[in-house]
Order: sequence, then C-alpha cells, then structure tokens
Amino acid sequence: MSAAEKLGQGNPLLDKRLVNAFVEGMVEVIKSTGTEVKEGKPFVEPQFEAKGSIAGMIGMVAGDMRGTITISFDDSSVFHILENWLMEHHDQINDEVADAVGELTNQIYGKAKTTLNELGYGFEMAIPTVITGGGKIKSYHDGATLILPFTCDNGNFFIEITVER
Amino acid sequence: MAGGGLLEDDVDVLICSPKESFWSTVKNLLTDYNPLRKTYVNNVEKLLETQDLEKIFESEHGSEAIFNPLLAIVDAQENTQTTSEWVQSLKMSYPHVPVMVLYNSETPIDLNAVLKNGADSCYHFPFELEFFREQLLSNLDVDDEDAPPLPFSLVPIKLNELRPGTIIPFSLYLKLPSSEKILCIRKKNNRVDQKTIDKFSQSKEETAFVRRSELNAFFKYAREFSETSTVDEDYSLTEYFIEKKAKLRSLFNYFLDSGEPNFDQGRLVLNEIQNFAQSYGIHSKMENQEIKSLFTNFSGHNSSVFHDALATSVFTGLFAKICRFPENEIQSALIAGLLHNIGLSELSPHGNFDSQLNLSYQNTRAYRSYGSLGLNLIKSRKVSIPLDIGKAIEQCEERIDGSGYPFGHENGKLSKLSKVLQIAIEFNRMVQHSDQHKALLPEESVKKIFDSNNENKEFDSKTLNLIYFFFAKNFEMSAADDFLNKLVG
Repeated sequence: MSAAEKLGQGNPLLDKRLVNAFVEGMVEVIKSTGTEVKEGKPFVEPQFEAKGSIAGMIGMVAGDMRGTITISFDDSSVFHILENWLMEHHDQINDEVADAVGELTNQIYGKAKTTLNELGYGFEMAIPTVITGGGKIKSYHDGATLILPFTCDNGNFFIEITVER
Repeated sequence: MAGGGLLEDDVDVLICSPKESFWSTVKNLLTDYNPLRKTYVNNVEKLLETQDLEKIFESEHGSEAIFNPLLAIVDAQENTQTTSEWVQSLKMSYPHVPVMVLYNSETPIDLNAVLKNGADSCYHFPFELEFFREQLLSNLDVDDEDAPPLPFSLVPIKLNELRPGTIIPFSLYLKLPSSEKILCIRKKNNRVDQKTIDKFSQSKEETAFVRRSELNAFFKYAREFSETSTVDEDYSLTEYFIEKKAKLRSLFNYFLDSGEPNFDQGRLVLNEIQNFAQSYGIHSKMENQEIKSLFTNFSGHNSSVFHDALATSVFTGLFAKICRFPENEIQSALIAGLLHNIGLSELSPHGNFDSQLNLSYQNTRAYRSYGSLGLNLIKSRKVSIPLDIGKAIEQCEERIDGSGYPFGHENGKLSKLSKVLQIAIEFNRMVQHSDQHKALLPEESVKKIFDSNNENKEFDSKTLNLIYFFFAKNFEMSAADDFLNKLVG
C-alpha cells in the first residue's frame, strides 16, 4: 500500500513523516537565506486563520487527499529574511516582498514534496498564491489546522496545514 | 572589410558618447588597432545630420576625411532609454554599421531592450574585454590572408596540440613582445617538428599563435592529430575553451543585465549553472590520469576573467575531491569556483582599462572585496544559491591568519569550502600566464604555495598538506586516502 493510500485511511495531520518533511523543508530553506531559525511546538487550531501579514499558499494534492499548506510571516520576520537573503531592505509589504514569499513557499513545498514523494506519496507540482494585507483569512477551509511555529531573531513565521477530507 | 587592408580611407570607427572620458578610454583600447581612424561623436543630434558628417566631426588626425564608418562603439548612457536613443539614431543613419554598446556597473542597462533597439552586441566593460576584442575583430574583418597578420588577429593555442612530424594546414607565429614584432615560424602546409615546438615553449609567452582566419583549419588539425587527453573528444583543446567561455558568458550575462530579475529566471539560471558545473564529471569517479589531465589542460593559459572562472571551478572541484568531500559538496565547490569572480563586474571601471583586469586593483581593498560584491550581485539577481556556496564566494579572498579581505576573518569564521576555494584561486593565479608572471606547472605551483604557507600560514594547512601530498604521490587518490587516515589516526 502506497503512502498516499495510507493517507486516505488516517488523518494526515497525524502523519509524522509529512509534518517532518515540511519542518525540515522550512528550516533548510530559511537557513539557506542566511537566517537562523528555531522551531516551536506544533499545535492544532479548530479553525483556519492565516497568521502574520503575508502568506504563501499552495494546494496539496496526493491521491484522494486535498489540502492546503500556508507559509505565513509577520512583517518583521519577512523583512529580516529578505535582508539576509537578497540584500534588500523593505519596511512595507509590496509586490517584491510578495514575489519573494511566493518563491520561499515554492522552495519549501518543493523540498518537502521531494522528500515525501521518495517515501511514496504522490504530491504534484503546484503554484503558490500569495496573500497580503493583514491576512485574516478565515473559513478558507473547514476543519482543523495544524500550526508549526518558527522564530528567527526578528519575528515569527508559520506553516499551517489544513486537510479536506 | 571590402577589399581588405586597413590603410584604405573607408576604415573608420565612430565612438559615441557625451563624455570625453569615453573617447579617450576607447582610443586607448584601440591603440593596438592602428591605423584605424577613430571619430568622436558627442551629441546624438549629430548622428542624424548625415550629409555633413565629414565636416562636423573632428577626425582624430585633425583633418577632414572621407567618412564611411565600419563600426560604431557606443557608451551606455545614464539609462537604457538614452542608450537606446543613440543606438536607434546610429542605425537610422548607418544601417549597415555594427553597433557595439559598452556598459559597466555605473551605467547598467537592460540588455534585451538595447539589443531590441538595434544594438548588435553589448559588452560589460572591462569585465568582458576578451569578448569585446574578439567581436571587434570580427566586425572589422581585418585579417587579410595575403598581408602580414596584425597583433590582435592572432590567437594563442596550446602547444601540446601540435604533433611533431605532421603537416600543418595553418601558419604558426611567434610574438616578440619587446619589439612588438610578429614572426612566422612555420608557414601553412609545412611540417612542424619538435625543434619548432621547443622554440615556442622557450619564448616569453610560451605559446604559438595562429591567425584568427586559420583557426578552423587548426581546430580540424588538432582534433585529428592531438595526442593530448582532451576534456572533450569532440573538440580540440583550444576550441573547447573558446566554446566553454562563450557558454559561460551567456550564463554571466544574466547577472550583468539590469533588466528586472525574477525568481523563475533565477531558478533557470541556477539550474544551468549546476549543469555546467556537472559537465566535467568531477563529482563522479575518475581515474588518476583523468585528474592529472584536467590539471594540465586547464593550466598554462592566458589569465582572463572567464578563463579564471572556468579553471578555478575545476581546480576547486578537484581539490574538494582530493579532500574527499562528498559528491554534493564537490558540486558546490565547482559552482563556487565558477562564480567566484563575478563580483569583478561590480568594481568601478575608472582607471581599470588596462589590457587585463587584474593589473590595477591587485593589491587594493576594493579589488579584493570582489567576492562579497559577487555574492550581493547573485542575490540581487534572485538566484538562490545554497548558503555554503555563497559563503565560499564571499570569503574567497579571506586568509586563515586574518590578513584577507573583505572582513579579515580568521580561521574559525571561514567555511570549509572557502578554504579550498582560497587555495584554488591562488593556484590558478600561478598556473596561468599573466602580465606579471609566466605560468608555473601545476606541481610547481602547489609546492610554491605549500612552501610559502609554512612561513605565512595564510591557507588551511590540513587542506594544503593533502593537496601537496596528492601531487607528490603522482595523483594517486589512494595516497591521499592514506594521508587522510594518518590524520584521523
């Protein structure tokens, strides 16, 4: 039985390998920008609500599973990461910042996808959508959201995983 | 050039810029190309007044001359739009004239936009000097087979591509730098012997030259007769480097362009760079003889920005291999070497219009900060290189005793990869010809760095010892393994 088939049986939010793949992807990508990163303790929220002020979202499709991964940043963390990564100084969210968040989301998803597909999942290519402007997006999905929090010297950022069943 | 021969009245180069400094810069650059007549245009309006050109423009020699330009060299102005305006005006007045645009870090332009507006080629100057010279020659078409060759129409070749006892379908020339004379040592369709080859190897430049117009005949000969173990069997060695440098230039152009970068393009470029670095096969298993061949084949050339990037890439990769880095880190080493000197393009061009880039800045802080400038450039073009590669590029001129640039970091702050890259850059400086020195053999260079490091302690001793041992044991990887085991033990 493939990992994707197994996914159909259990709650993917409880699959440690899936969660780890995204955590490792996040850590690796953020470190590659020259930013120190610390992982926080994961928790579950009953309702999806994008955190931070800018977020990259990618629809995940693997077998019967449909879900969304959202990588969200508060202002100070994303400005700090971009300064380290691209030597660009920003003090407000603009198209360039949005473009960069899209790229970070793409890289993180890409790394996790590679790891998970090697384990037998069948994640497909996907294009990120970037959401800005306060980002208080609610009811994008019904159901619980797994939140993986991270911190850097200048702020917080999150991976939020929701799964449609 | 119609009819050939530089002395005809119709040979003229338009030098177009509102800045007089550009006029003198290009005049200096074209010194070797005398007796080209050069004409200065300082106002774009004048380009459209084609009827009276010979009266309006002051010729270099102070006299009015028959005016029929063969080439235009245009200064990149303060922005892409103004540059395009000059290019368009030139093309309207002289549709047949090739237009070459020179730009630099202080006058960045959107290359695609300028090319679309009619420019035939654009060169980051002096970073792309070697390509500019080559294209200049091609545009002027001055290599007249029936006349003695001009100095700039000669191309150096690798002597080990000549096979004693064979008939050569091209002439071989020797340059005498002291008297600026050119001697034909072997004429086309004659036999070349060992004595002749020795004569070239004992000359100041330690090489032979062929005319640009006879290069194809040389390539064909070298592919057939060369006994050297070339890096690619489809090419002669000289041809291989010309092709590789052209390919590298097309990759570097992404970094030199001031057109809006984006992550998709950045990802494509990084992918191409990775493929380029992989093409040597250094990350996979190699025979000792193959390793030796790579060291030999990439040494003994004239130092230039692009050759240095190619050779330093290979040397860094090979050194990483000798040090038993894992495959992915060898790949990182190759990429770090390839991109290490791209920051030279960010240096101010003022006072740096010598024949080779490495003359003026060699000992200045500005020059030796090129690694850090390069990393910033790569980042600004949205190419997400891995952190270890970025660190190595940034620290490529640092030294473990803290005497390096730009930060003066000591051993503990330097990355493992940067320590290998630092040695590879020093090694490359020694094994290539430059205006300052003749090329040393790879073995001599390693020994020289090793001996010097015993006193100065600039480079990482462990890495250097391993490389020295490997060379001393005739490129035996097993010998390097023994040495590593002893270190661990």
